[in-house]
Amino acid sequence: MLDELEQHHVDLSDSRQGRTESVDLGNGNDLRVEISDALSEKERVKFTIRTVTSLVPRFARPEFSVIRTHEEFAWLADRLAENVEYAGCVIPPVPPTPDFSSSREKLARLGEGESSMSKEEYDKMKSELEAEYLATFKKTVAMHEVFLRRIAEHPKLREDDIFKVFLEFDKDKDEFFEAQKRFITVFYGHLRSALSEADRMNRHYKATADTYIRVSACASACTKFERDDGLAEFLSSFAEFCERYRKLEGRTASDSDLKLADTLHYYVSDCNSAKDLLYRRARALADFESANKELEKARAKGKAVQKAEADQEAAFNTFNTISEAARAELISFKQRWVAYLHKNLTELAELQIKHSRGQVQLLTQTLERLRQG
Amino acid sequence: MEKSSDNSEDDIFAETNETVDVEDVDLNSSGAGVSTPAATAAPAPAAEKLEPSAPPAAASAPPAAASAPAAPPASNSSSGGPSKLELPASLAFEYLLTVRVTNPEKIGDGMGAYVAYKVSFSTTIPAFGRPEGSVRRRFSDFLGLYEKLHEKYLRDGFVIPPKPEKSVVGATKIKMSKDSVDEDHFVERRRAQLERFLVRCSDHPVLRMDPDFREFLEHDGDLPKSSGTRALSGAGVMRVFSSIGSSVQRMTYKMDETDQWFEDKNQEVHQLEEHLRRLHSSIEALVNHRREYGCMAEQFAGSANMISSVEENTNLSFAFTKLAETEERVGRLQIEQADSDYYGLAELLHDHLAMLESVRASLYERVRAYKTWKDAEMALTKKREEKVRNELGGKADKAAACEAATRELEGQVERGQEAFDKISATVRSELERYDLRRGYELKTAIVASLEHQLRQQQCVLEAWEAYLPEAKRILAA
Repeated sequence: MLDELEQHHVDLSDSRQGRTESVDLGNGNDLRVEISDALSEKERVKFTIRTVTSLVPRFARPEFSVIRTHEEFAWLADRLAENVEYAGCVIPPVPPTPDFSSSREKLARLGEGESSMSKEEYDKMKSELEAEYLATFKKTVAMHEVFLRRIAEHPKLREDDIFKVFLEFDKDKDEFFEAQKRFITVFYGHLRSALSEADRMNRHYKATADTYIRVSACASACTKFERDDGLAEFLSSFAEFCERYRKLEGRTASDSDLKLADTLHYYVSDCNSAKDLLYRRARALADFESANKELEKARAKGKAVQKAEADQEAAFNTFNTISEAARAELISFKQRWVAYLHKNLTELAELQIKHSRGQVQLLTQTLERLRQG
Repeated sequence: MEKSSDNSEDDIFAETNETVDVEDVDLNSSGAGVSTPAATAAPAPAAEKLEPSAPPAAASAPPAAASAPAAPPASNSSSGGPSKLELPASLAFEYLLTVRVTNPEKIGDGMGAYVAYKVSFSTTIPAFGRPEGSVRRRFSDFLGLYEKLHEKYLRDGFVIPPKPEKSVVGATKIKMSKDSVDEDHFVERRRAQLERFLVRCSDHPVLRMDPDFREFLEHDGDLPKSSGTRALSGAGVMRVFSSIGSSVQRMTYKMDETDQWFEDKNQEVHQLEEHLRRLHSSIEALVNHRREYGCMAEQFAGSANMISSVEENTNLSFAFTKLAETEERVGRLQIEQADSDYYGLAELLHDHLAMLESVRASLYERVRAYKTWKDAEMALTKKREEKVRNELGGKADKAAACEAATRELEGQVERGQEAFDKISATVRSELERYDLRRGYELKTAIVASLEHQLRQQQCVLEAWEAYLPEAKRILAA
């Protein structure tokens, strides 16, 4: 029962009611901050903070979101309070720590006493507790939002750099891509080694299979002048065995090639493409950053501002599009590969089993024949 | 399921989905024979009474040498062991003699160090002082024995088992697997060679009764030092002399062959050598490739493990780990098979190529006997002519001397012919014996190799069968 409440997505739609009006970014409204989403996990609450602003280029974009935990709010509050420059300001107090412990305890006790009460009683108590939990949750969201709003509306505090970082810096998104880049690079390296070794392995396997032709030919040649009929027949059977065995081993080798080496080959190519995607995103980011700088320069000089703004927006759009698409792509890349590997490794195993059985059978038959002769 | 490129018509195993259970196959068709995966090529003869006219009796051989370099730990290996092929009756003996060479041990340090081997025997031959025993011998002791036997018996046309090689390393193009110690292989090769040498001696009706051979097996303590001094002894000089001489003479002396059997045989030996050489070379290639394949599979397993360690998806990571395990196991099995085929087949063929040298040497001894006889005949004719000339010329005392010489020469001719007939018979019986022997050894080795392969292949099958569920599990929740 506790699990249901552990990950709770708060539906904040009812508190949105009064705010469906379009955002008027007039003088007092050039920096709007709100908590658009919240997720309650086992250990913590994650708030999604959405910022709408016209204060570009102080902020890199007009609209953006980040995810923050309570500890980061506390950190912001501390930094502001420590700053002597704001000694004369009324700094908004840090919102209280989200505390669901009492709800949890009650829920636990309810769970324990489940057997000792009737179904209706139990259901009633359960929904009461859920409602209590929800209320606590909404309250803490609201308090965190008020905290941010007061800073955003304060003429001095809103200019603070730490506040800017708090609102804007999305290490998650970058981290996702950073991690992807690291992973793919290392992974790619290992894949390539595995591929080259699989190739060599299969080549030697095939060579082994093919050598049986030689052995067969030699054994056959020996039979021609053997005086002893028994031995001649023996060698002839052996030669035949070599021929047939070679076919089986040959097939095993080429199936291994097909299912294992080729798969790895394809995986390596795909990884290469993923790397290319990451590279393109990085380039788009660099372009966007330089467009930002150009815009700042243009604003400072007061020249060609419109063009610079247009460029910057275009660069941002490109980057954003690539970024979002890339994230989805990389996730689906992984899923695709899990499925593909599943298929191919399963087939590899099945084929190897089939061929092994064939070899065992051939060997058994041949041994019987040879022993009789 | 996709098919790789194969001819469906002759894919008789397309419908295969049965496993052959090893336990079901009757592997004991000729009694409780226990053998190891082709470590020795020459199993000991049976303990049957020798009945020349009876059909070949089923031979139940005593346990062969247990020092297999690569015995596969197959989980379902046949409990009864593979069956032995029938030993041709003419190769069987009334009395039993088994020999083994084991326990190579390094004695001493530095320059004077050498390897000592344990030589053990068990026998029912009455001439032996005791039914079993073991002694320690070193390589030079074996060489010494060979020299003695060679000297004693070659002249009579016997085919002596090939001399153990001094340089075992250079004699082959085999590449060892990366993790095997070259020294171990060297020691094992030598041990196996020494054993085969002794076993072949013990299987030879005349050599096995030789007192020097017996002393080699029985005498507790060191044997008198062989090589060094021998070269300067009278017999040693003669030996060197004769061996140089014979290889030159072989090329120059053309015998007037009247016996068709020998005419054919000479041809045969030539052909046989050619074919054996090719067969040996193809087996060596097979062994090399298989060993490389096994090593590569092990390496690949290393990479697959690396992939597994960075793979984030748990199921996939696990699947790669298991794949690594499987390929490593398969790799190991292949290397074991390569080793087994190397010691069992490649080395055996190598031996027989050396044996053919002995065969040629025997044949040549017969040619020499012929030459001796014919030379004596020619000398006799000349002497007779000389005598007549002397008589006609009125030189009575010279004629008398010729008469005496003639008598002498007549005796020589007679002896020469007898010697030639005798050696012809010996060589013929030796060669016939050798043919049978070769056939038997070859068959046994091939059967042993296939049996080993069967066991290995069953393990490979098991490994992949164990992997299949792991692969399927990739998509499990």
